[in-house]
Amino acid sequence: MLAYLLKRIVLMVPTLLLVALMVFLLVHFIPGDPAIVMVGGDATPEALEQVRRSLGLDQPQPVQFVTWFGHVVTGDLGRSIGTGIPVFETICERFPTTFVLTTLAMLFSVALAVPSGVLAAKFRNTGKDYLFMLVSLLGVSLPGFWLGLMALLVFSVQLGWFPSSGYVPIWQDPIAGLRYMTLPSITLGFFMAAVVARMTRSSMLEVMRLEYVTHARAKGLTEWSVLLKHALKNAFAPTLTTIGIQYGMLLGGAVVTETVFGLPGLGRFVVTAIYSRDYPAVQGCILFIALVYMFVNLAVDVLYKAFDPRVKY
Amino acid sequence: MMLAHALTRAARGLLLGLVLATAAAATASAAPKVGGTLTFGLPTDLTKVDPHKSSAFVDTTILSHVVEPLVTYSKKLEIRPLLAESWKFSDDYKTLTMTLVAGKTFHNGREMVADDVVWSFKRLLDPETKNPKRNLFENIADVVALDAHTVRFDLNKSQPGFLHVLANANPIPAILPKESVDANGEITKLVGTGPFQFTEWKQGQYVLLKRYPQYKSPAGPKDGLAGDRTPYLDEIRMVPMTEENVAVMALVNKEIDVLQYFPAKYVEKYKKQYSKEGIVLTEVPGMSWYQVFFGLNQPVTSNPDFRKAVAYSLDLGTITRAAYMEHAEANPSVIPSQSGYYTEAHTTWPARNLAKAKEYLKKAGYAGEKVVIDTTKNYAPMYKQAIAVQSQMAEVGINAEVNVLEWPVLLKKLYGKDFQMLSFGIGPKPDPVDAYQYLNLTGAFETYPEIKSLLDQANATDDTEKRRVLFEKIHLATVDTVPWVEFYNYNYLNAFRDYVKGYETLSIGVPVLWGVWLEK
Repeated sequence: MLAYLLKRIVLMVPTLLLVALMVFLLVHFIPGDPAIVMVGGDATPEALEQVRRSLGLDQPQPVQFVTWFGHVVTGDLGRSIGTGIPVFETICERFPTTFVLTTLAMLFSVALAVPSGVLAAKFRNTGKDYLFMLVSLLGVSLPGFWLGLMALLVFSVQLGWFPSSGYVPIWQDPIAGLRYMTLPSITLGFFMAAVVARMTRSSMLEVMRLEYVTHARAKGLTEWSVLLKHALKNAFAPTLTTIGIQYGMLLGGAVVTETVFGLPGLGRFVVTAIYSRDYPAVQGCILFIALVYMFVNLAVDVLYKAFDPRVKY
Repeated sequence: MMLAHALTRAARGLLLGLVLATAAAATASAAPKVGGTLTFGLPTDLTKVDPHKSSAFVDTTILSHVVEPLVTYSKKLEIRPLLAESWKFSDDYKTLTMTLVAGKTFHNGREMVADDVVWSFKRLLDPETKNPKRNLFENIADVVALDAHTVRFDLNKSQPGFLHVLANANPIPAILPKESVDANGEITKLVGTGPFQFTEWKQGQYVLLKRYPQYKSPAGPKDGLAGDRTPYLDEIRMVPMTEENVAVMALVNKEIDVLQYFPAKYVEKYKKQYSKEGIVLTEVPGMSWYQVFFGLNQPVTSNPDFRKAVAYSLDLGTITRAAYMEHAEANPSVIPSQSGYYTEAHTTWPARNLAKAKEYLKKAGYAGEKVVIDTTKNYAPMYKQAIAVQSQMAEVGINAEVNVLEWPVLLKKLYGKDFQMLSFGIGPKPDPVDAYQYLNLTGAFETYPEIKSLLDQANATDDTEKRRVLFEKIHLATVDTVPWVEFYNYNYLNAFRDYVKGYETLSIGVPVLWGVWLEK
């Protein structure tokens, strides 16, 4: 197990190097440059050139890459052109918000989706199955932006249960923090739940056709016991992969939810940085997100063994 | 045409006057009260805490309450004293000597002296500071402290309008203490001389300002950014509200007290509902302006007859309404109606005349070639006006295509003069010389050197009457040559709770929060 973990971690190094190179190239291939965004519409060409020089954008791209990557390996992701603040500092300030939002959303979605998926499978092709799948179809189809605004309109403006704006970190004041996080995490979790429920249902249906499930039934076990103790355990492995992928993706920034609810997360920052061609910020954040994604994948692979005894490390 | 325009303007002025009168009545009250926290909804977050490095307008909104320049603008955009109490130009306008206010302290308690002015301007001019608008200050050859309260600016060339540079609102040429920067030359905790102290910035959450109790205000009544600047609020909490629908909900829910930009689409709902729920809406005529630029070096649009055909095909009023509904004032000039330089001559522009437009198209030899209008959806009015222009041009047979680009790409095309037509908008420029500099982006200075010559003459004099005449001539030259079509100045829609007293936004877009108190 330890050897497996070490091997995976060592393999992350070339992957990160490749990601760094790709991110750098992609960001620099997008038309427009940060100097132009900084000066806006009213600078002379000379002033624009001066800003480009001061940002090092007049250097050949290979030189820019080596300079940037040289700093990255020492742990320095550079300073954001937009804010002037070190990128690492911004990540440290904003990532916890995204982490809490995504984790709460994931917990909500798993709590909602796994039972729904199991029930839909049990009552396959009945009214209950269609109802569960209709709700999950709505979850996948409804735009997060619209859902967020509707949630605010009903639960904040009409009922006054939750605030419509503002933010308190959950680690500073757990009660107030939860009030600010409830609507965003339910909105985000609803979308995740829809995907996870559909995956749980189809995995369950597949597993329930296998011989060992028939064998369990033949032993006289109750249907619930067959479903939960035998079928679900095996069916959960692909669901776990889906949860892992969703979680990893959203940790990179649940942009729409963060924007609608005004949460100071990493996603909003990255989108703003992309629009303003803030090269160091985009490169640093995406590199960090890639790293997070790799660790989430590793965690999912390690957890696999708990659900599928055939997996060996 | 001019009479009709004047009547429309008069009607609009009356309407606006009524709105403002209502607002004034809503904000007027008895004696100001000290104390309380005001929560102010901004459209975006602060970008930089260092005024010498910033170029974003949102930074001016926040930092203008913390730092101060040497001189500033009155409500009518006249230059007024702030950190400098008096000044004198040399006869050739190459030297400016200023006397500083004595006893003015930074938020760290130390007195502001001439050495701070010297240090601040040297930092602003240092390329290492990376001020994106450093070019505004490039005429400064040297800054010298003559004694503790006297400072002299030596200029490279004569510049009678130099005081406008010192009063600039974005970026603010703020006077900062040397000790406010760390070993890397970075400002992490901003120290200024303004009515409020910069206390905390939580990225994406809020900026907290606290009243500076030792603040020494200039004398005289409050007048724009000048005059009485006494702070009454204990704290100002400025929160970014990037989603406009949520921002309105927050105002309705009393989670914020002021919303800097109230969405125009909610005005009807305001009239029917919000006005009865303790929300006040004011509409202030702004100085920002929107237009379409022509590329004077590009196929088709390099032909002045084609550009005249476009001018005759467009109805400015319709385009204005398409972009801003009734919350903007059609204006074919870069000089807004509230400027002292605005005269009848600036209303001159070809009225829509489709027959004439077709006549000019024929003269230009236009044979249906495709003309591209570059625009962006990052700023909705730029896109909406481009669509309106395309539609009106189509009525005379011009084959125009709207090309939607990302903001950085649009800017790159603008700087590269790589466009046929480009839909754009520009922030407030109180001095018309700065506004007319934008003609350079079309290539008009090379194509029409006489316009550049008129602008240079205006830049070389501080005689208001001479400048007024020169600006009229420049506008009329743009009527003849059509390097751009100017559309409108939009109004600032501000909404706030009725217990907020003394609040106003200036025509340059800066909200003023000193002199504001809460009547709760």
